Amino acid sequence: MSGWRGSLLGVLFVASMSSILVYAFLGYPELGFVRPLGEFYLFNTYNFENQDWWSASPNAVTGLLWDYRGYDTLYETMVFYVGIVAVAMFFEGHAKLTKTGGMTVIVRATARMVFVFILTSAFAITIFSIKTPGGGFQGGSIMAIAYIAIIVALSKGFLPEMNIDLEKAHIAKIIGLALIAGLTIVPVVYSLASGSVAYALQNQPKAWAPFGYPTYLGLTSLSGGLIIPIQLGEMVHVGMGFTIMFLLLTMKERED
Amino acid sequence: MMIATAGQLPYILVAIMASICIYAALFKSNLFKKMLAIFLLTDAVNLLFIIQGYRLGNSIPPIIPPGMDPSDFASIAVDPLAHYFVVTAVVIGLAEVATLTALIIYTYKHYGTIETKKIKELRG
Amino acid sequence: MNPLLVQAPILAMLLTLLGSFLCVLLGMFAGRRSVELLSGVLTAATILLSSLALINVYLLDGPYVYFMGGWPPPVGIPYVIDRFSAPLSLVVSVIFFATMVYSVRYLEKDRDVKWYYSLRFLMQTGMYGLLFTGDMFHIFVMLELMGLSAILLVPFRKEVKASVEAGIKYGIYDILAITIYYLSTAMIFGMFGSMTIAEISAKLGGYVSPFSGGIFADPSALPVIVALIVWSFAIGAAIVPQHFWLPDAHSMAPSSISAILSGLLVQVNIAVLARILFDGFAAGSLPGSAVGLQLLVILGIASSVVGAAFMLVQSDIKRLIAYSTITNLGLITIGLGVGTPLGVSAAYLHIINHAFVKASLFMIAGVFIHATGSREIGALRGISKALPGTSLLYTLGTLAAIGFPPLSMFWSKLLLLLSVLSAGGVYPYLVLPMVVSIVFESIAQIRLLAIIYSGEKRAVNCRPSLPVILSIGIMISIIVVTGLMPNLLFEFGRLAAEDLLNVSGYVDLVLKSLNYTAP
Repeated sequence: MSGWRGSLLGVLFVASMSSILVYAFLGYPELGFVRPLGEFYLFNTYNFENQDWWSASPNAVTGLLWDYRGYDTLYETMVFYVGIVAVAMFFEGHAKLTKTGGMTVIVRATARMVFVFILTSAFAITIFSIKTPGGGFQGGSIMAIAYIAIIVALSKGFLPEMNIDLEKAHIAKIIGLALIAGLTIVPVVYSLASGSVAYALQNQPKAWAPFGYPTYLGLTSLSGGLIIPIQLGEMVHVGMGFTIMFLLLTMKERED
Repeated sequence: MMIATAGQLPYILVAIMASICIYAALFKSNLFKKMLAIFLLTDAVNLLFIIQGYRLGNSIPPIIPPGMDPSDFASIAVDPLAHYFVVTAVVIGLAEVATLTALIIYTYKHYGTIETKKIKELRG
Repeated sequence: MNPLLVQAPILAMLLTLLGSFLCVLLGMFAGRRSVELLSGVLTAATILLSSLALINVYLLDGPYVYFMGGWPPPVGIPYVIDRFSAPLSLVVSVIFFATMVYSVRYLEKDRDVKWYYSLRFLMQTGMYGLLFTGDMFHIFVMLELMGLSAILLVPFRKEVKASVEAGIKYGIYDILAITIYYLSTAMIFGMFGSMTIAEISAKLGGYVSPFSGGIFADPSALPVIVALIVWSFAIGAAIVPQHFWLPDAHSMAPSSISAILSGLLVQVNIAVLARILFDGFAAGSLPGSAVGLQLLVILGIASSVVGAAFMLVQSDIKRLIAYSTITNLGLITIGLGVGTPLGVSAAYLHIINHAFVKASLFMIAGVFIHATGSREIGALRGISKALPGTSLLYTLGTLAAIGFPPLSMFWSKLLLLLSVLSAGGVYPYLVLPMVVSIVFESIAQIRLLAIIYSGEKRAVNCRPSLPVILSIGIMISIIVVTGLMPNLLFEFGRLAAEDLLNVSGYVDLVLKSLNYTAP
């Protein structure tokens, strides 16, 4: 199927498929229409008047991520975990990381400083995701950049200097996941122990389900209940996951 | 016969983009192109979500500014639900890319090519 | 309500989730025996929890909805534990346990089993989620979870060239299918403003939700959305003409995974499709949504005949069994497409019976392949004298697969034929292609049996160990016992179809069973 036959088939396929889709879309509302369910989340996410329906997070997207539709995000995290397993399963078991010396003191010190800066911003983006754009995944991506930058700019051999290797990355990733899973299970265990109604991943108490995590983590500015700790877990998971993926893929390249 | 208005043009863009991606994913013979087509299809759908959650005029992000009344906020912010779906789908898309890339690299290792026409151990 | 009974299905999901990463931790530090022990304990626990859920739904409280995070739909995600989903979840748990016992010995020579068990757990979680969930977007997430882990398990033996090829083929088509499904969820969000399945049918009937309002787009787009959904699930469930990846993937995967892929994964796809079409779009009773059912019948006929015809020309035992899956999926989709209570209950029973039969056939095929060192059917000549016990089990499984009277699949095939005959219109004529496909399948399977029982005794590389035989024995005994109690089977099928087809009951359960005052 080459030459003009292929292109004719392509044009026909695209034309018919897109006209079917356009036919379906013609009855849709015009650009700029926000659906009532979206306005419900906007109205209720940080509404002190009616705390039965709030997520205690001023950022509505973060509230959706780990409260209203938290169970989706839990398994979205697990899908990402499958992605890491994919790379680990196919490319693990090659060379081990070895320390390469030879960097000057200045290079090492600068690398450490940049590293600390990036990690700090990752933490900030994760923790303040209830008030500003951001979240566990975004923070984790930035955290991974701290390690990936070192691999790209210096070398893989520099990673042991930063106290990280594959095994430690795997363990840290699993600790992050365990934090997420633990926070998910706590309401279920509470329900089994006390006999009252509580649902998996429940964040704030409601009239029909009294279980709730404390709304403020010590400071009055850090609201959101379970959202901040669970985002930290996701940050570690995602950051370490990206680091593992990148490490294994670069190792492969070096060998062949 | 309905005529598309200016407010519906983004939908038409999504329709054309999605059709091209589905065509490429089904009929292109290069595995990497197939993967890219699937990933672009995800992006076309993400665009559709964003279109459906967009608000014209002085819209603000779905983060409530300190001191603002929730009902005022609900009438000017964009739809957080659509944004949520996109955030989730982007992460899932990353996992898809990781999986397919790993498989494609291994296919190349075994067969020395990523053209589906030349990979014919199995009869299908 | 007892909290343990309420939480049981969710606990089963969360246990498998814990297992998925604890396996990796144990595999890194404590060796493979501890990984296997943990997997065994956790999968056994899921059987217990699923049976608790089943008992609760059938005998104590009846169907109920679990509100994730405590949010009523459409704000949050509802999990609907009813008489359609609870029995299927028990089937999932039992087959995962049996294949778990089987894998311990079957994978003895493979390295890195921690990834294998981890991915298996995630696939199991995905199946539970798909069976229970009442949310369109959650189905997308769960399809990805189940699909990606299945895609990775197919090329688990990555040194084998063909298994990587099968994996990439399966990967491209399955992910494309899921992405097309994602497109349809975006269109549903635009039209209904919510993702809850129950709200779709309620709004089509004129309901205005206190949270998400009414319908925002012209319902003339509905046939397009339904067609997209059916298309995506038709690729995922390998219905002709999108079946080409299935024989490759199911025959090249390790046999313990083939058993799950062929016995459960495609059927879970069909079950989710049934849930969306019947409870979401109230198929058949609304203008525009009947297109889904007609598509299913047409595709089902094509599948059953094409799959059976291909069975006749196969020379590889696992490919033969894989094509048999395509045939049986065709029969199941015909039953669903007919849409009568009898048709749906027949399809439901066929899903359950086929799961056990197909899983056991693949597991025994794995034993044969290990014993002879070859996948060719010709190499099986004389195997019955060398491995008489396994061959006897295989005979029972095959007899069940072709619908030999007292065994379980006879009853569901009978019901499927009856349902087509009792439906009106042109449907009674469908008996002809169905009988043709059943006859073709029987010929192919009996030919295989004849080869197994012919010839002189041959030498074998290795004999199956006790756990392998035990796990296969569990499955075969389930087939025999359920076949001897057809009344119980019919009752399960009838109640499942009742819950699936009672749209207003489903809507009331999901939207009104929680006591709250809307803000």
